[in-house]
Amino acid sequence: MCCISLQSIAFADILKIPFSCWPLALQSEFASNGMKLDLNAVERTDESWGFIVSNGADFEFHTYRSVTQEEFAIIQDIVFKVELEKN
Amino acid sequence: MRKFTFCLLALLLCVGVAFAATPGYRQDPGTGDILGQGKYQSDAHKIFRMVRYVPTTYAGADTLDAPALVIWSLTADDGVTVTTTTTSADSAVAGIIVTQALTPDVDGNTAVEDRGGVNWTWLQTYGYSTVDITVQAVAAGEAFGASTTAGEANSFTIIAAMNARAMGIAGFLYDKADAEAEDVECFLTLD
Repeated sequence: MCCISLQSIAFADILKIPFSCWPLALQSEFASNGMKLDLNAVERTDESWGFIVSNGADFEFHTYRSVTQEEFAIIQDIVFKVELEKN
Repeated sequence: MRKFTFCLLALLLCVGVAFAATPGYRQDPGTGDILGQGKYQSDAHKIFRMVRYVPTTYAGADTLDAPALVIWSLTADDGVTVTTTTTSADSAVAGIIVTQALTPDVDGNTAVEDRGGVNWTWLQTYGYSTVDITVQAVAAGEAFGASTTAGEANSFTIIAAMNARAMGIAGFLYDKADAEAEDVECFLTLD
């Protein structure tokens, strides 16, 4: 049980993004890439990839497992797509 | 009968304590996700920041390979732009680039003008990572910071002429390593 728990907790990451946030737009874009992004932690289900925390002028993704290099690229593309569409 | 009742009460007490001491392993939404060791699942194992990379001297298209130790840019002054340094123990140390960084298409842009540009990358500021070592061997457990080689780390040493505010410690090294060793295990403690 201990090992299972450690597996669950040991690889959570926080990604800090220096732009303002449009949570619904981000959620939709993540979904189109097969990643379930919750708007807060209590929405979590077994399929959740992570949740978003908006701090006003910036925001954070809290993941439930370690982010991969491929996901770094996907997230960057999504953030810019939403950011550039907004302005 | 009294013995039996006493034993039953003792058993119930023990079971109750055992359940009370067990962290909540519930997986349903809204339960707090407490998974033992006093940690929440949302606790950071690593922290990354999306940052803009601009080289100290722009010379067209180029790359900064990961892992590279970088500092916050003292030219951009915007809190999102990083660059390399050749100042040992640079107090502006920002963290380690974990994905390859490209140079901007246009030199002199602000971070806002560079939105969507190729020169955005990921900076790790906290947690287990790896770093390249400069031309001097390092020992396990030593604090490390920037070196005189761009992108590479060196053990952090206080020199006589150092300003008290110049405390550019990025973290510590897990292992000893030879000069010019690559991908040495370390732990970042910047944020």
